[in-house]
Amino acid sequence: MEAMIMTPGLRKFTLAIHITFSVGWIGAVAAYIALDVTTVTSQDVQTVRAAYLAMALTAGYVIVPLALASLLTGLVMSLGTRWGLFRHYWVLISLLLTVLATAVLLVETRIINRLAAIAADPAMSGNDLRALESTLVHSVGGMAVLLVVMWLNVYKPRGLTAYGWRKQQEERKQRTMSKP
Amino acid sequence: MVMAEKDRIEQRENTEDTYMTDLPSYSTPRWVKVFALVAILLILLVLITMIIVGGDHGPGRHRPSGADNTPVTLVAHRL
Repeated sequence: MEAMIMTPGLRKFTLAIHITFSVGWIGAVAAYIALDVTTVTSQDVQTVRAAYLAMALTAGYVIVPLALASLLTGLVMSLGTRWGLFRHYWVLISLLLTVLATAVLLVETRIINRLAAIAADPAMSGNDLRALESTLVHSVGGMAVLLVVMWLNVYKPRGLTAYGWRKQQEERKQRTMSKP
Repeated sequence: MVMAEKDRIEQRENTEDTYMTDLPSYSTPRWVKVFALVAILLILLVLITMIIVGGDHGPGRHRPSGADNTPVTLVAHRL
């Protein structure tokens, strides 16, 4: 697939938007982990109840939109520059990890909403709330994946995929043949 | 002059995929192999943990284990 190269100004603007969504996603997950830890450690029933409700709101209205926006702007950045989507390992692995993180997040959001619905029930006792399993493992795991993606995007470790290498060879041949 | 330099930097950033051009044949970079190995080990670790713990990894594990066995959906409808 031939990339449609963006102008430098448009590329920088899109990059700024992509960074905003991606770093915002990491920040929102950090806030979510604080709430998640509260549900595990707090002895106060009302605090645990409030934390579950806040987790559902944070996941549904902040984390999911940021994740989808980050994925979308990442695709635009890849396809709109010479990096491409499948040419470089760091781009490909970033894409796979982001898709995986978003898919797990979407499944997890349904679970969080269910937990919040249970926690919102005034009939649920403190013991019932404490018996609810935490999503902490998933949220910490998600954060680790996002940090790996961020590291890949900042350091851009070298390495062409087989497809990228083939395309590069083809382009070099074409350049050589077009020279007088 | 400053603008020309800025344009050159932006152009370089935009076309910074010119590395590895002199390699005669394709080879998977070492960091990718290490990355894949670590990923496989982590997946195996998770699978083994799930098997040891009980393997219940679905939404059903989030149901309360107390005396109230009301289905979660009924609780949600009551709200």
